[in-house]
Amino acid sequence: MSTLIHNFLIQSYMTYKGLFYWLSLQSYISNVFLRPVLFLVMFTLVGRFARDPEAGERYIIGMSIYAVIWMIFGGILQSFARERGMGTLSVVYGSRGSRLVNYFSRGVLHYPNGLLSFGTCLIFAWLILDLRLSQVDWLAAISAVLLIAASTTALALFMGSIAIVFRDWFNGLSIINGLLLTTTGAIIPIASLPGFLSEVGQVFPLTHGLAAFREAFNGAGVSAVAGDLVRELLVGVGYAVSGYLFYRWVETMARRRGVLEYAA
Amino acid sequence: MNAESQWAVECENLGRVYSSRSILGGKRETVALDDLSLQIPQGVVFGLLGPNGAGKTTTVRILSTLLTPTTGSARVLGDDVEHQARQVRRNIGFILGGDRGLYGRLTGKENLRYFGALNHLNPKESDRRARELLEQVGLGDRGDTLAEQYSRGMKQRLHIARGLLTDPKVLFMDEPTMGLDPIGAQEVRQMIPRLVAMGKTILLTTHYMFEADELCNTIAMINKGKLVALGTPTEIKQKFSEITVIDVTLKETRPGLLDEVSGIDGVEKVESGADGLFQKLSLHTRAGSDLRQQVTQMVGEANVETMIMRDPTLEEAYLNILG
Repeated sequence: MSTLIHNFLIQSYMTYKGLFYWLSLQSYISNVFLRPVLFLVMFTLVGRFARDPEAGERYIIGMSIYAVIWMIFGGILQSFARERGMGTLSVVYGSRGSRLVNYFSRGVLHYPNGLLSFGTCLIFAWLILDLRLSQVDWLAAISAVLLIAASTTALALFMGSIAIVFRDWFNGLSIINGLLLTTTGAIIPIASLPGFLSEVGQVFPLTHGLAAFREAFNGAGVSAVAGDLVRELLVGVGYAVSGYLFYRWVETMARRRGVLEYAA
Repeated sequence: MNAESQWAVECENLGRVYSSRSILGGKRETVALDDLSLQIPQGVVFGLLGPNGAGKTTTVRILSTLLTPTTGSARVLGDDVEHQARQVRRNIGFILGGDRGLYGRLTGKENLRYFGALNHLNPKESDRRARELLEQVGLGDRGDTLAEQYSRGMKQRLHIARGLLTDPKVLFMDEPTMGLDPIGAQEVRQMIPRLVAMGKTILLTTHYMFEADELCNTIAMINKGKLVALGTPTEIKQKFSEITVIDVTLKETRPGLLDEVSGIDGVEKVESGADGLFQKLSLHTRAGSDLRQQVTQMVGEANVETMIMRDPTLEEAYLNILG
Protein backbone atom coordinates (compact mmCIF):
# COMPACT_ATOMS: atom_id res chain seq x y z
CA MET A 1 0.00 0.00 0.00
CA SER A 2 2.82 2.39 0.87
CA THR A 3 4.42 1.64 -2.53
CA LEU A 4 1.13 2.52 -4.20
CA ILE A 5 0.87 5.83 -2.35
CA HIS A 6 4.52 6.61 -2.93
CA ASN A 7 4.20 5.89 -6.65
CA PHE A 8 1.03 7.98 -6.79
CA LEU A 9 2.94 10.95 -5.35
CA ILE A 10 5.91 10.38 -7.68
CA GLN A 11 3.61 10.29 -10.69
CA SER A 12 1.79 13.43 -9.51
CA TYR A 13 5.04 15.34 -9.26
CA MET A 14 6.63 13.97 -12.43
CA THR A 15 3.62 14.53 -14.68
CA TYR A 16 3.34 18.03 -13.22
CA LYS A 17 6.98 18.90 -13.75
CA GLY A 18 7.40 17.02 -17.01
CA LEU A 19 4.22 17.94 -18.85
CA PHE A 20 2.97 21.26 -17.44
CA TYR A 21 4.59 23.94 -19.54
CA TRP A 22 3.21 26.87 -17.54
CA LEU A 23 5.70 25.97 -14.84
CA SER A 24 8.28 28.52 -15.93
CA LEU A 25 8.31 31.68 -13.78
CA GLN A 26 6.84 33.98 -16.44
CA SER A 27 4.10 31.57 -17.51
CA TYR A 28 3.19 30.67 -13.96
CA ILE A 29 2.87 34.28 -12.76
CA SER A 30 1.00 35.21 -15.91
CA ASN A 31 -1.53 32.36 -15.70
CA VAL A 32 -2.03 32.03 -11.96
CA PHE A 33 -2.05 35.70 -11.01
CA LEU A 34 -1.98 38.22 -13.84
CA ARG A 35 -4.41 36.82 -16.36
CA PRO A 36 -7.27 36.02 -13.94
CA VAL A 37 -6.93 39.36 -12.17
CA LEU A 38 -7.08 41.28 -15.46
CA PHE A 39 -10.19 39.34 -16.51
CA LEU A 40 -11.70 39.99 -13.11
CA VAL A 41 -11.11 43.75 -13.41
CA MET A 42 -12.38 43.87 -16.98
CA PHE A 43 -15.66 42.06 -16.28
CA THR A 44 -16.27 43.91 -13.03
CA LEU A 45 -15.80 47.26 -14.67
CA VAL A 46 -18.07 46.23 -17.53
CA GLY A 47 -20.71 45.37 -14.93
CA ARG A 48 -20.29 48.71 -13.19
CA PHE A 49 -20.29 50.56 -16.49
CA ALA A 50 -23.66 48.94 -17.17
CA ARG A 51 -24.79 50.58 -13.90
CA ASP A 52 -25.75 47.28 -12.31
CA PRO A 53 -24.14 47.03 -8.86
CA GLU A 54 -25.29 43.41 -8.48
CA ALA A 55 -23.70 42.51 -11.78
CA GLY A 56 -20.41 43.90 -10.52
CA GLU A 57 -20.37 41.56 -7.54
CA ARG A 58 -21.68 38.68 -9.67
CA TYR A 59 -18.76 39.13 -12.03
CA ILE A 60 -16.20 39.30 -9.24
CA ILE A 61 -17.33 35.94 -7.91
CA GLY A 62 -17.86 34.44 -11.35
CA MET A 63 -14.47 35.48 -12.64
CA SER A 64 -12.70 34.39 -9.47
CA ILE A 65 -14.19 30.95 -10.00
CA TYR A 66 -13.23 31.17 -13.66
CA ALA A 67 -9.62 31.37 -12.50
CA VAL A 68 -10.06 27.89 -11.00
CA ILE A 69 -11.28 26.54 -14.33
CA TRP A 70 -8.46 28.13 -16.31
CA MET A 71 -5.69 26.80 -14.13
CA ILE A 72 -7.04 23.31 -13.54
CA PHE A 73 -8.14 22.67 -17.11
CA GLY A 74 -5.05 24.29 -18.60
CA GLY A 75 -2.71 22.19 -16.50
CA ILE A 76 -4.48 18.86 -16.70
CA LEU A 77 -5.21 19.01 -20.44
CA GLN A 78 -1.53 19.71 -21.07
CA SER A 79 -0.52 16.70 -19.01
CA PHE A 80 -2.54 14.42 -21.30
CA ALA A 81 -2.06 16.00 -24.72
CA ARG A 82 1.68 16.52 -24.37
CA GLU A 83 2.08 12.85 -23.50
CA ARG A 84 1.04 12.01 -27.02
CA GLY A 85 2.97 14.84 -28.63
CA MET A 86 6.18 13.78 -26.88
CA GLY A 87 5.81 10.13 -27.83
CA THR A 88 5.70 8.96 -24.22
CA LEU A 89 2.21 7.49 -24.40
CA SER A 90 3.66 4.13 -25.46
CA VAL A 91 5.69 4.01 -22.29
CA VAL A 92 2.62 4.77 -20.18
CA TYR A 93 0.41 2.26 -21.99
CA GLY A 94 3.17 -0.34 -22.00
CA SER A 95 3.71 -0.08 -18.26
CA ARG A 96 2.43 -2.63 -15.80
CA GLY A 97 1.40 -0.25 -13.01
CA SER A 98 -2.10 0.83 -12.05
CA ARG A 99 -3.90 3.01 -14.59
CA LEU A 100 -6.10 4.31 -11.78
CA VAL A 101 -3.03 5.73 -10.06
CA ASN A 102 -1.67 7.18 -13.27
CA TYR A 103 -5.00 8.75 -14.22
CA PHE A 104 -5.80 10.48 -10.95
CA SER A 105 -2.21 11.46 -10.18
CA ARG A 106 -2.36 13.87 -13.11
CA GLY A 107 -4.82 16.11 -11.30
CA VAL A 108 -3.25 16.38 -7.87
CA LEU A 109 -0.90 19.35 -8.21
CA HIS A 110 -3.15 21.34 -10.53
CA TYR A 111 -5.84 21.41 -7.86
CA PRO A 112 -3.95 23.77 -5.52
CA ASN A 113 -3.02 25.97 -8.47
CA GLY A 114 -6.71 26.56 -9.08
CA LEU A 115 -7.30 27.44 -5.44
CA LEU A 116 -4.29 29.76 -5.38
CA SER A 117 -5.54 31.61 -8.43
CA PHE A 118 -9.01 31.88 -6.92
CA GLY A 119 -7.63 33.23 -3.64
CA THR A 120 -5.56 35.81 -5.50
CA CYS A 121 -8.62 37.10 -7.34
CA LEU A 122 -10.68 37.33 -4.19
CA ILE A 123 -7.98 39.20 -2.25
CA PHE A 124 -7.42 41.55 -5.17
CA ALA A 125 -11.15 42.24 -5.41
CA TRP A 126 -11.30 42.91 -1.66
CA LEU A 127 -8.31 45.26 -1.74
CA ILE A 128 -8.93 47.09 -5.00
CA LEU A 129 -12.56 46.61 -6.02
CA ASP A 130 -14.16 47.09 -2.60
CA LEU A 131 -15.58 43.61 -2.34
CA ARG A 132 -17.54 43.17 0.90
CA LEU A 133 -16.42 40.15 2.92
CA SER A 134 -17.84 40.77 6.38
CA GLN A 135 -21.07 38.84 5.74
CA VAL A 136 -19.42 35.71 4.28
CA ASP A 137 -19.94 32.34 5.97
CA TRP A 138 -16.40 31.11 5.46
CA LEU A 139 -16.93 27.44 6.24
CA ALA A 140 -19.66 27.12 3.64
CA ALA A 141 -17.78 29.27 1.12
CA ILE A 142 -14.53 27.32 1.47
CA SER A 143 -16.42 24.02 1.25
CA ALA A 144 -18.02 25.21 -1.96
CA VAL A 145 -14.72 26.29 -3.51
CA LEU A 146 -12.97 23.05 -2.55
CA LEU A 147 -15.78 21.05 -4.12
CA ILE A 148 -15.83 23.22 -7.24
CA ALA A 149 -12.10 22.68 -7.70
CA ALA A 150 -12.51 18.93 -7.16
CA SER A 151 -15.36 18.52 -9.64
CA THR A 152 -13.54 20.75 -12.13
CA THR A 153 -10.51 18.48 -11.74
CA ALA A 154 -12.70 15.45 -12.44
CA LEU A 155 -14.09 16.99 -15.65
CA ALA A 156 -10.60 18.13 -16.70
CA LEU A 157 -9.32 14.56 -16.30
CA PHE A 158 -12.23 13.35 -18.42
CA MET A 159 -11.41 15.95 -21.06
CA GLY A 160 -7.76 14.87 -20.88
CA SER A 161 -8.58 11.66 -22.74
CA ILE A 162 -10.28 13.73 -25.44
CA ALA A 163 -7.12 15.86 -25.62
CA ILE A 164 -5.15 12.64 -26.24
CA VAL A 165 -7.48 11.69 -29.08
CA PHE A 166 -7.40 15.11 -30.73
CA ARG A 167 -3.73 15.79 -29.87
CA ASP A 168 -4.68 19.30 -28.79
CA TRP A 169 -5.18 20.82 -25.37
CA PHE A 170 -5.71 24.50 -26.08
CA ASN A 171 -8.82 24.02 -28.19
CA GLY A 172 -10.31 21.91 -25.44
CA LEU A 173 -9.48 24.58 -22.89
CA SER A 174 -11.12 27.30 -25.00
CA ILE A 175 -14.28 25.28 -25.64
CA ILE A 176 -14.74 24.22 -22.03
CA ASN A 177 -14.12 27.78 -20.84
CA GLY A 178 -16.81 29.08 -23.14
CA LEU A 179 -19.25 26.35 -22.13
CA LEU A 180 -18.76 26.74 -18.40
CA LEU A 181 -18.78 30.53 -18.42
CA THR A 182 -21.99 30.56 -20.41
CA THR A 183 -24.02 27.80 -18.81
CA THR A 184 -23.07 27.58 -15.13
CA GLY A 185 -24.12 30.99 -13.88
CA ALA A 186 -20.60 32.39 -13.62
CA ILE A 187 -21.50 35.45 -15.71
CA ILE A 188 -25.16 35.17 -16.62
CA PRO A 189 -27.76 34.00 -14.06
CA ILE A 190 -29.02 30.57 -15.07
CA ALA A 191 -32.62 31.75 -14.88
CA SER A 192 -31.84 34.30 -17.59
CA LEU A 193 -30.47 31.74 -20.03
CA PRO A 194 -32.62 30.96 -23.05
CA GLY A 195 -34.33 27.55 -23.44
CA PHE A 196 -32.34 24.40 -22.99
CA LEU A 197 -29.17 26.34 -22.10
CA SER A 198 -30.55 26.83 -18.61
CA GLU A 199 -30.68 23.04 -18.21
CA VAL A 200 -27.29 22.25 -19.75
CA GLY A 201 -25.40 23.71 -16.81
CA GLN A 202 -26.96 21.16 -14.42
CA VAL A 203 -24.59 18.46 -15.68
CA PHE A 204 -21.46 20.58 -15.45
CA PRO A 205 -19.23 21.17 -12.46
CA LEU A 206 -19.43 24.70 -11.06
CA THR A 207 -23.19 25.22 -11.44
CA HIS A 208 -24.24 23.89 -8.04
CA GLY A 209 -21.03 24.79 -6.27
CA LEU A 210 -21.24 28.33 -7.54
CA ALA A 211 -24.83 28.64 -6.38
CA ALA A 212 -23.70 27.42 -2.95
CA PHE A 213 -20.79 29.84 -2.94
CA ARG A 214 -22.98 32.82 -3.79
CA GLU A 215 -25.35 31.97 -0.95
CA ALA A 216 -22.43 31.44 1.45
CA PHE A 217 -21.03 34.76 0.29
CA ASN A 218 -24.24 36.37 1.43
CA GLY A 219 -24.11 34.65 4.81
CA ALA A 220 -25.84 31.27 4.34
CA GLY A 221 -24.38 28.47 6.45
CA VAL A 222 -23.34 24.96 5.45
CA SER A 223 -26.72 23.42 6.24
CA ALA A 224 -28.45 25.94 4.00
CA VAL A 225 -26.23 25.15 1.03
CA ALA A 226 -25.78 21.42 1.70
CA GLY A 227 -28.08 20.41 -1.17
CA ASP A 228 -26.03 22.29 -3.72
CA LEU A 229 -22.78 21.00 -2.22
CA VAL A 230 -23.96 17.39 -2.49
CA ARG A 231 -25.07 17.95 -6.08
CA GLU A 232 -21.67 19.43 -6.93
CA LEU A 233 -20.00 16.43 -5.30
CA LEU A 234 -22.15 13.98 -7.25
CA VAL A 235 -21.37 15.72 -10.53
CA GLY A 236 -17.66 15.46 -9.70
CA VAL A 237 -17.89 11.78 -8.78
CA GLY A 238 -19.80 11.11 -12.00
CA TYR A 239 -17.05 12.67 -14.10
CA ALA A 240 -14.33 10.93 -12.09
CA VAL A 241 -15.83 7.49 -12.67
CA SER A 242 -16.84 8.00 -16.30
CA GLY A 243 -13.55 9.78 -17.03
CA TYR A 244 -11.51 6.86 -15.79
CA LEU A 245 -13.58 4.37 -17.80
CA PHE A 246 -13.19 6.60 -20.85
CA TYR A 247 -9.41 6.74 -20.30
CA ARG A 248 -9.24 2.95 -20.31
CA TRP A 249 -11.40 2.80 -23.42
CA VAL A 250 -9.13 5.26 -25.22
CA GLU A 251 -6.14 3.08 -24.31
CA THR A 252 -7.88 -0.02 -25.64
CA MET A 253 -8.85 1.72 -28.88
CA ALA A 254 -5.36 3.17 -29.34
CA ARG A 255 -3.94 -0.33 -29.07
CA ARG A 256 -6.50 -1.69 -31.48
CA ARG A 257 -6.14 1.04 -34.07
CA GLY A 258 -2.42 1.51 -33.75
CA VAL A 259 -2.48 5.28 -33.37
CA LEU A 260 -0.37 5.75 -30.25
CA GLU A 261 2.56 7.46 -31.84
CA TYR A 262 0.91 9.84 -34.26
CA ALA A 263 2.16 13.08 -32.82
CA ALA A 264 0.57 16.49 -32.97
CA MET B 1 5.20 -16.36 -17.19
CA ASN B 2 4.40 -19.82 -18.39
CA ALA B 3 7.01 -22.09 -16.80
CA GLU B 4 6.66 -24.68 -19.55
CA SER B 5 7.47 -22.33 -22.37
CA GLN B 6 10.85 -22.98 -23.95
CA TRP B 7 10.43 -20.01 -26.27
CA ALA B 8 10.98 -16.41 -25.34
CA VAL B 9 8.79 -15.32 -28.23
CA GLU B 10 6.39 -17.22 -30.46
CA CYS B 11 4.46 -15.70 -33.35
CA GLU B 12 1.85 -17.78 -35.07
CA ASN B 13 0.38 -16.55 -38.34
CA LEU B 14 0.64 -13.03 -36.99
CA GLY B 15 -1.03 -10.35 -39.07
CA ARG B 16 -1.76 -6.68 -38.73
CA VAL B 17 -3.78 -4.49 -41.03
CA TYR B 18 -4.01 -0.74 -40.46
CA SER B 19 -7.29 0.83 -41.51
CA SER B 20 -7.88 4.48 -42.13
CA ARG B 21 -10.56 6.57 -43.72
CA SER B 22 -10.13 9.41 -46.17
CA ILE B 23 -11.87 12.73 -45.63
CA LEU B 24 -14.64 11.52 -47.99
CA GLY B 25 -15.15 8.34 -45.97
CA GLY B 26 -13.31 5.93 -48.26
CA LYS B 27 -11.64 3.08 -46.37
CA ARG B 28 -7.96 2.35 -46.95
CA GLU B 29 -6.19 -0.68 -45.61
CA THR B 30 -2.46 -1.24 -45.29
CA VAL B 31 -1.09 -4.70 -44.60
CA ALA B 32 1.83 -4.27 -42.20
CA LEU B 33 2.26 -7.91 -41.19
CA ASP B 34 1.13 -10.91 -43.16
CA ASP B 35 1.06 -14.40 -41.65
CA LEU B 36 4.33 -14.09 -39.74
CA SER B 37 5.34 -17.19 -37.82
CA LEU B 38 8.58 -17.48 -35.89
CA GLN B 39 9.98 -18.73 -32.61
CA ILE B 40 12.78 -17.20 -30.59
CA PRO B 41 14.55 -19.34 -28.01
CA GLN B 42 15.52 -17.88 -24.65
CA GLY B 43 18.90 -16.26 -24.09
CA VAL B 44 19.74 -15.22 -27.66
CA VAL B 45 19.91 -12.09 -29.77
CA PHE B 46 17.38 -12.39 -32.54
CA GLY B 47 17.62 -9.91 -35.40
CA LEU B 48 14.62 -8.72 -37.34
CA LEU B 49 15.72 -7.14 -40.61
CA GLY B 50 13.89 -5.57 -43.46
CA PRO B 51 13.45 -2.36 -45.40
CA ASN B 52 11.38 0.58 -44.17
CA GLY B 53 7.74 -0.44 -43.90
CA ALA B 54 8.57 -4.15 -43.81
CA GLY B 55 6.74 -4.66 -40.51
CA LYS B 56 9.62 -4.70 -38.03
CA THR B 57 8.31 -1.99 -35.74
CA THR B 58 4.78 -3.37 -36.01
CA THR B 59 6.08 -6.74 -34.80
CA VAL B 60 7.90 -5.12 -31.88
CA ARG B 61 4.83 -3.10 -30.95
CA ILE B 62 2.60 -6.15 -30.99
CA LEU B 63 5.04 -8.10 -28.83
CA SER B 64 5.31 -5.12 -26.47
CA THR B 65 1.49 -5.17 -26.03
CA LEU B 66 1.21 -1.71 -27.58
CA LEU B 67 -0.71 -2.94 -30.59
CA THR B 68 -3.14 -5.78 -31.06
CA PRO B 69 -2.78 -8.15 -33.99
CA THR B 70 -5.65 -8.39 -36.45
CA THR B 71 -4.97 -12.06 -37.11
CA GLY B 72 -2.91 -14.80 -35.50
CA SER B 73 -1.36 -14.73 -32.07
CA ALA B 74 1.90 -14.02 -30.28
CA ARG B 75 3.23 -15.14 -26.94
CA VAL B 76 6.10 -13.91 -24.82
CA LEU B 77 7.42 -16.53 -22.40
CA GLY B 78 4.17 -18.38 -22.96
CA ASP B 79 1.83 -15.46 -22.20
CA ASP B 80 -0.46 -14.21 -24.94
CA VAL B 81 0.30 -10.57 -25.80
CA GLU B 82 -3.32 -9.74 -26.46
CA HIS B 83 -5.18 -11.60 -23.75
CA GLN B 84 -2.51 -11.71 -21.02
CA ALA B 85 -0.97 -8.31 -21.61
CA ARG B 86 -0.42 -7.57 -17.92
CA GLN B 87 1.58 -10.79 -17.44
CA VAL B 88 3.56 -10.09 -20.59
CA ARG B 89 4.48 -6.61 -19.33
CA ARG B 90 6.00 -8.14 -16.20
CA ASN B 91 8.63 -9.84 -18.34
CA ILE B 92 9.45 -7.38 -21.08
CA GLY B 93 11.26 -4.13 -21.63
CA PHE B 94 11.17 -2.16 -24.83
CA ILE B 95 13.44 0.44 -26.30
CA LEU B 96 11.71 2.30 -29.08
CA GLY B 97 14.46 4.89 -29.23
CA GLY B 98 14.73 8.16 -31.06
CA ASP B 99 14.49 11.73 -29.88
CA ARG B 100 10.97 11.21 -28.62
CA GLY B 101 9.68 9.06 -25.79
CA LEU B 102 11.42 10.91 -22.96
CA TYR B 103 10.31 13.78 -20.74
CA GLY B 104 12.60 16.63 -21.72
CA ARG B 105 11.72 18.69 -18.66
CA LEU B 106 12.73 15.93 -16.30
CA THR B 107 16.30 14.98 -15.54
CA GLY B 108 17.61 11.57 -16.55
CA LYS B 109 17.19 10.38 -12.98
CA GLU B 110 13.64 11.74 -12.77
CA ASN B 111 12.72 10.08 -16.05
CA LEU B 112 13.75 6.74 -14.59
CA ARG B 113 12.04 7.46 -11.27
CA TYR B 114 8.81 8.18 -13.13
CA PHE B 115 9.07 5.02 -15.23
CA GLY B 116 9.72 3.07 -12.05
CA ALA B 117 6.53 4.48 -10.53
CA LEU B 118 4.60 3.73 -13.72
CA ASN B 119 5.70 0.13 -13.39
CA HIS B 120 4.83 -0.04 -9.71
CA LEU B 121 8.41 -0.69 -8.60
CA ASN B 122 9.30 -0.26 -4.97
CA PRO B 123 10.62 3.35 -4.83
CA LYS B 124 13.85 2.45 -3.03
CA GLU B 125 14.52 -0.44 -5.37
CA SER B 126 13.67 1.75 -8.33
CA ASP B 127 16.10 4.47 -7.24
CA ARG B 128 18.86 1.94 -6.65
CA ARG B 129 18.39 0.41 -10.08
CA ALA B 130 18.18 3.84 -11.69
CA ARG B 131 21.57 4.77 -10.19
CA GLU B 132 23.11 1.49 -11.32
CA LEU B 133 21.71 1.73 -14.82
CA LEU B 134 22.76 5.34 -15.31
CA GLU B 135 26.28 4.23 -14.42
CA GLN B 136 26.04 1.24 -16.76
CA VAL B 137 24.98 3.34 -19.73
CA GLY B 138 27.56 6.01 -19.01
CA LEU B 139 25.22 8.69 -17.70
CA GLY B 140 26.24 8.40 -14.06
CA ASP B 141 27.49 11.98 -13.93
CA ARG B 142 24.65 13.39 -16.04
CA GLY B 143 21.70 11.97 -14.13
CA ASP B 144 20.73 15.40 -12.82
CA THR B 145 20.78 17.06 -16.25
CA LEU B 146 17.46 17.73 -18.00
CA ALA B 147 16.84 15.16 -20.72
CA GLU B 148 16.13 17.96 -23.24
CA GLN B 149 19.79 18.94 -22.87
CA TYR B 150 21.02 15.45 -23.75
CA SER B 151 22.63 14.68 -27.09
CA ARG B 152 20.99 12.10 -29.34
CA GLY B 153 23.38 9.43 -28.07
CA MET B 154 22.70 10.28 -24.43
CA LYS B 155 18.97 10.11 -25.06
CA GLN B 156 19.40 6.71 -26.62
CA ARG B 157 21.36 5.52 -23.62
CA LEU B 158 18.62 6.83 -21.33
CA HIS B 159 16.10 4.86 -23.42
CA ILE B 160 18.19 1.76 -22.82
CA ALA B 161 18.37 2.42 -19.08
CA ARG B 162 14.61 2.87 -19.05
CA GLY B 163 14.09 -0.38 -20.95
CA LEU B 164 16.18 -2.22 -18.40
CA LEU B 165 14.72 -0.60 -15.31
CA THR B 166 12.27 -3.40 -14.57
CA ASP B 167 15.00 -6.03 -15.11
CA PRO B 168 13.06 -7.65 -17.97
CA LYS B 169 13.69 -11.17 -19.20
CA VAL B 170 12.93 -10.23 -22.80
CA LEU B 171 14.05 -6.96 -24.30
CA PHE B 172 12.75 -5.48 -27.56
CA MET B 173 15.18 -3.03 -29.14
CA ASP B 174 13.86 -1.15 -32.16
CA GLU B 175 16.79 0.29 -34.12
CA PRO B 176 18.77 1.17 -31.00
CA THR B 177 21.78 2.59 -32.84
CA MET B 178 19.95 4.61 -35.46
CA GLY B 179 21.24 8.16 -35.62
CA LEU B 180 24.09 7.58 -33.18
CA ASP B 181 27.67 8.55 -33.94
CA PRO B 182 30.09 5.61 -34.44
CA ILE B 183 31.34 5.69 -30.85
CA GLY B 184 27.84 5.88 -29.38
CA ALA B 185 26.65 3.08 -31.67
CA GLN B 186 29.63 0.94 -30.71
CA GLU B 187 28.88 1.49 -27.01
CA VAL B 188 25.31 0.33 -27.51
CA ARG B 189 26.47 -2.69 -29.49
CA GLN B 190 28.93 -3.61 -26.75
CA MET B 191 26.10 -3.61 -24.21
CA ILE B 192 24.08 -6.24 -26.03
CA PRO B 193 26.32 -9.30 -25.42
CA ARG B 194 26.58 -8.27 -21.76
CA LEU B 195 22.79 -8.28 -21.49
CA VAL B 196 22.59 -11.72 -23.08
CA ALA B 197 25.23 -12.96 -20.65
CA MET B 198 22.86 -11.84 -17.91
CA GLY B 199 20.29 -14.26 -19.32
CA LYS B 200 18.16 -11.84 -21.28
CA THR B 201 16.63 -12.52 -24.66
CA ILE B 202 16.90 -9.66 -27.12
CA LEU B 203 14.84 -9.00 -30.21
CA LEU B 204 16.74 -6.43 -32.22
CA THR B 205 15.54 -4.60 -35.29
CA THR B 206 18.14 -2.80 -37.34
CA HIS B 207 18.95 -1.47 -40.78
CA TYR B 208 22.64 -2.09 -40.27
CA MET B 209 23.61 -5.48 -41.65
CA PHE B 210 27.07 -5.55 -40.10
CA GLU B 211 25.41 -4.93 -36.74
CA ALA B 212 23.08 -7.89 -37.22
CA ASP B 213 25.97 -10.01 -38.46
CA GLU B 214 28.06 -9.10 -35.42
CA LEU B 215 25.38 -9.42 -32.74
CA CYS B 216 22.64 -11.82 -33.74
CA ASN B 217 22.48 -15.56 -33.20
CA THR B 218 19.53 -15.82 -35.55
CA ILE B 219 18.11 -13.47 -38.14
CA ALA B 220 14.70 -13.15 -39.72
CA MET B 221 14.31 -11.01 -42.81
CA ILE B 222 10.86 -9.68 -43.52
CA ASN B 223 9.55 -7.78 -46.48
CA LYS B 224 6.06 -6.35 -46.96
CA GLY B 225 5.06 -8.06 -43.73
CA LYS B 226 6.14 -11.53 -44.82
CA LEU B 227 9.01 -13.67 -43.59
CA VAL B 228 11.45 -14.14 -46.47
CA ALA B 229 14.53 -15.61 -44.75
CA LEU B 230 15.35 -17.18 -41.41
CA GLY B 231 18.59 -18.61 -40.07
CA THR B 232 21.96 -17.80 -38.57
CA PRO B 233 23.86 -15.01 -40.35
CA THR B 234 26.18 -17.65 -41.90
CA GLU B 235 23.26 -19.79 -43.05
CA ILE B 236 21.55 -16.83 -44.63
CA LYS B 237 24.72 -15.72 -46.39
CA GLN B 238 25.29 -19.22 -47.75
CA LYS B 239 21.72 -20.13 -48.54
CA PHE B 240 20.55 -16.97 -50.12
CA SER B 241 23.66 -15.76 -51.88
CA GLU B 242 24.11 -17.44 -55.18
CA ILE B 243 27.19 -15.34 -55.78
CA THR B 244 30.89 -15.19 -55.03
CA VAL B 245 32.45 -11.77 -54.73
CA ILE B 246 35.84 -10.79 -56.22
CA ASP B 247 37.22 -7.52 -54.88
CA VAL B 248 39.93 -6.05 -57.13
CA THR B 249 41.97 -2.92 -56.41
CA LEU B 250 43.48 -1.39 -59.56
CA LYS B 251 46.33 1.09 -59.82
CA GLU B 252 44.67 2.76 -62.77
CA THR B 253 41.67 2.33 -64.96
CA ARG B 254 40.86 3.07 -68.56
CA PRO B 255 37.71 4.02 -70.46
CA GLY B 256 35.47 1.07 -71.21
CA LEU B 257 37.12 -1.26 -68.67
CA LEU B 258 34.00 -1.53 -66.57
CA ASP B 259 31.96 -2.68 -69.58
CA GLU B 260 34.65 -5.17 -70.54
CA VAL B 261 34.73 -6.71 -67.07
CA SER B 262 30.93 -6.78 -66.92
CA GLY B 263 30.97 -8.76 -70.16
CA ILE B 264 33.00 -11.67 -68.74
CA ASP B 265 30.86 -14.80 -68.74
CA GLY B 266 29.81 -15.50 -65.16
CA VAL B 267 29.94 -11.89 -63.95
CA GLU B 268 26.47 -10.80 -62.84
CA LYS B 269 27.15 -7.33 -61.53
CA VAL B 270 30.10 -4.96 -61.13
CA GLU B 271 30.27 -2.19 -58.55
CA SER B 272 33.05 0.37 -58.79
CA GLY B 273 34.37 3.02 -56.45
CA ALA B 274 37.48 4.88 -55.42
CA ASP B 275 39.83 3.55 -52.76
CA GLY B 276 42.27 6.37 -52.12
CA LEU B 277 44.35 6.73 -55.27
CA PHE B 278 43.22 3.30 -56.45
CA GLN B 279 40.12 2.13 -58.26
CA LYS B 280 38.10 -0.59 -56.56
CA LEU B 281 35.87 -3.08 -58.39
CA SER B 282 33.54 -5.58 -56.72
CA LEU B 283 32.48 -8.31 -59.10
CA HIS B 284 29.45 -10.41 -58.21
CA THR B 285 30.05 -13.73 -59.96
CA ARG B 286 28.06 -16.93 -60.08
CA ALA B 287 28.70 -19.05 -56.98
CA GLY B 288 31.36 -21.71 -57.55
CA SER B 289 33.05 -19.99 -60.46
CA ASP B 290 36.60 -18.65 -60.09
CA LEU B 291 37.09 -15.84 -62.58
CA ARG B 292 40.24 -14.33 -61.06
CA GLN B 293 42.46 -15.49 -63.94
CA GLN B 294 40.19 -13.95 -66.57
CA VAL B 295 39.86 -10.71 -64.66
CA THR B 296 43.63 -10.46 -64.22
CA GLN B 297 44.18 -10.94 -67.92
CA MET B 298 41.62 -8.31 -68.78
CA VAL B 299 42.83 -5.57 -66.43
CA GLY B 300 46.55 -6.40 -66.79
CA GLU B 301 48.55 -8.19 -64.08
CA ALA B 302 50.80 -5.20 -63.40
CA ASN B 303 47.73 -3.07 -62.82
CA VAL B 304 46.37 -5.22 -59.99
CA GLU B 305 47.21 -3.95 -56.52
CA THR B 306 45.12 -6.55 -54.63
CA MET B 307 42.57 -9.20 -55.50
CA ILE B 308 40.53 -11.33 -53.11
CA MET B 309 37.69 -13.75 -53.55
CA ARG B 310 35.20 -14.02 -50.71
CA ASP B 311 31.69 -15.05 -49.69
CA PRO B 312 29.15 -12.26 -49.78
CA THR B 313 28.46 -10.13 -46.73
CA LEU B 314 25.10 -10.18 -45.00
CA GLU B 315 24.32 -6.89 -46.70
CA GLU B 316 24.97 -8.43 -50.11
CA ALA B 317 22.80 -11.41 -49.16
CA TYR B 318 20.11 -9.00 -47.97
CA LEU B 319 20.20 -7.10 -51.24
CA ASN B 320 20.10 -10.37 -53.12
CA ILE B 321 17.04 -11.52 -51.21
CA LEU B 322 15.15 -8.24 -51.19
CA GLY B 323 16.56 -6.60 -54.26
